Amino acid sequence: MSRPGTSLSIAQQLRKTTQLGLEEAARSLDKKHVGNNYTSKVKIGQKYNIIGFISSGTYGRVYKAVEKNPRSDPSSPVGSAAPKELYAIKKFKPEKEGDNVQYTGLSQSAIREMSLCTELSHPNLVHLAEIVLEDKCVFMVFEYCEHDLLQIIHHHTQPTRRPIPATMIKSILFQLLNGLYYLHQNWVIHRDLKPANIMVTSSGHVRIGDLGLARLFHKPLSSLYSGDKVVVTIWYRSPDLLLGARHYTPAIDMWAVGCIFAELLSLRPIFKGEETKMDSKKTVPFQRNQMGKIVEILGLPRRENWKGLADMPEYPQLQSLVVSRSGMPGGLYPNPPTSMNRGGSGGGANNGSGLETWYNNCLRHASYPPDKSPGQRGFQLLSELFEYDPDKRLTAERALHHEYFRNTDEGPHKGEIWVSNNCFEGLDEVYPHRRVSTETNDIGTGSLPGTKRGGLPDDSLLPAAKRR
Amino acid sequence: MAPISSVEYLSNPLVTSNQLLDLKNSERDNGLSVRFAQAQLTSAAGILLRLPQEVIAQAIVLLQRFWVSSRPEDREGFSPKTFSAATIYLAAKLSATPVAPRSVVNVYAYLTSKASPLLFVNPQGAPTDPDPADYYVSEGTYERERQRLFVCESVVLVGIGFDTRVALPYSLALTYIQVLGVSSASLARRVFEHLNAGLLSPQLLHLTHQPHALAVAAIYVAARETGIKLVEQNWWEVFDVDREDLGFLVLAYGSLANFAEAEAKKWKGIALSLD
Repeated sequence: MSRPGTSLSIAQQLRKTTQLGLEEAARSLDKKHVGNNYTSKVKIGQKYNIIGFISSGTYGRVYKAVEKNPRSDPSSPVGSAAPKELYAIKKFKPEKEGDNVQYTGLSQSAIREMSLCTELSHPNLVHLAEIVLEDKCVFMVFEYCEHDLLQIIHHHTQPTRRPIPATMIKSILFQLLNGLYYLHQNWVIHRDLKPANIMVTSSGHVRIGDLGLARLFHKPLSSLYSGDKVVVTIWYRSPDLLLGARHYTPAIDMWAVGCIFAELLSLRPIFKGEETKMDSKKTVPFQRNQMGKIVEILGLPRRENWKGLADMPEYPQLQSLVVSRSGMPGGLYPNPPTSMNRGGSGGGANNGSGLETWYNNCLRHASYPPDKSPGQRGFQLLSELFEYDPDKRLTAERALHHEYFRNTDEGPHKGEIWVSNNCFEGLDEVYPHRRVSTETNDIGTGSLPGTKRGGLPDDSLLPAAKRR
Repeated sequence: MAPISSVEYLSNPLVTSNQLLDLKNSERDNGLSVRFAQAQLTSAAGILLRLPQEVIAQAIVLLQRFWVSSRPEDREGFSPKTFSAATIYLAAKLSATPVAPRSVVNVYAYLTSKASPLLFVNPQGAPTDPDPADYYVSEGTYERERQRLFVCESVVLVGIGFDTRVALPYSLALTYIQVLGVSSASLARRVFEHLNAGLLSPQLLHLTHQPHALAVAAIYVAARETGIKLVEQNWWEVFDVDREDLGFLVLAYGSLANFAEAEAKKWKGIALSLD
């Protein structure tokens, strides 16, 4: 674990590459001439070869790159250069100039992400190699991860649907929870967990990526809600957020973990709602469709099980959802009698029956061999992650101790919580390498042509076909 | 640098003795005075910008971190005034209450003009009837200052290694006086006064000690001054502060008033330029 005490030494590491640039900045000032830009002598283009373009989002673009002159081991014989390391370089979109919005220096979110990334360090978080400032551009150089969950899930649907092996799901989930536990322990909420943001290295290690939306929550001076209105891609958004929670908690990340678990099992998003766009008045709309998708499977949240439910800002909207549903045949309110006989299932879930049906259908379709199935313990975990009440929802720490992760294989670790940190362990499946496009390799600091989303979209599985 | 084993978000990166020595060796004769004046300027600007004290404190601590973790030549590029403006702008940007670059430029123009109430700028005191033309910022000046601010912001960020998180002692101090059962408005006020003054100290207290130690020392001094009796035993040990650290900090807080007076005498009638 990184300690704040080491931060200044990290600072020195990071400064190695930028010191030269500072001299130049200082020199230009000596000449009584202040450049409009921060000039760094080490340009990203001089240190790294851009191999291709990976993806783009609202923040900017991500490129695959290789270091030009890796520090080779002087003791090694001539000619055998060190293997070139791969990097993913995240280039923040320069804040737009003109268009009423004036340049205000580096963007708030970039500075926040840089600050978090320099302090946080964990095997299950994507590793930051260095930061390069150039003109008005920020480049964050991360280790390169060959896969992400979106890509892995997609691979299992092509050409026919093949379930992801249960051991792999278990390993992915455990590593994901481990990284998340570290974040939450350090008072950081990720706020944007989704398959596309969860990387997997070629050696099977899971790395949580994209801390762009992550925030500290230990001291919310003003409501987190008012800062940046909408967080978490809609399919992974928890009911407390959908119902207008102002002060949200790490529990929103845990809901997203539940969604990811379900998606790994079924290979499609479990709650695939349609986003209601913000209206012209810039008020945040109630995401009726998304809430409806959740209610379809989990049943309605109930005041008996969720103490604060009636106080949620969008509670009246939920009531209207009830009214519009109760007319339908087999409506979920009032509860159909079948769900009364849910036996010992469900654990903490408000209405386990729908989820149990979903889960059992899912396992049946996947036809896991009986000894290699996520089994009932998987269902227990899922239902505890899909707990409506954020206060009762499983925490990352408790999830890591869940029975689901207890090792049942014969061997020295039988009966312990023991999960491999290589999610590909024992598997023959070869996952395709990340596709990079070589068309737009210009990583220059100029304005970006078309900052519209292209490549791997952040929040949609649909254009997967297009990527082929 | 020694690892810290306490809860992460209650602690700060601390300065090494080498860094302190380097700073001491690289500073000119009036280095202490410049840093003291710069901290006052930052504080005054924060107040005029109506920023919460926590943001002001963060700005001052970032400024101090920049002093120790950057090289002397890195610090040549801009004036102490611009570094102060850049850190307050940066700290405000990261808070819930960002400020516009124009406000920052205006406030700093005012605080370093003939109309400034700051004594190290106007040793004779501010004129009773200041001329607004003295601190008027023309569009050209604004444009130039704004660009300078942004470049300086980048220089600061690189200098501190992009780590902008600062843990502060204020809420800890309040909790501690509640735990000690001596919570009162007058004591809390005096504790905060010491904590605020401690930010101005050229001894870089926030880089040499963790927030919990600062809080304990401020309580110790404040309780003595306001005549509030604390428990007999070595209560500071409960908060993980040993006698030696407490002694150092109590002296630091207690001597700040003398240092400020000495500074005032030293610069009596002479302006100290931060430009």
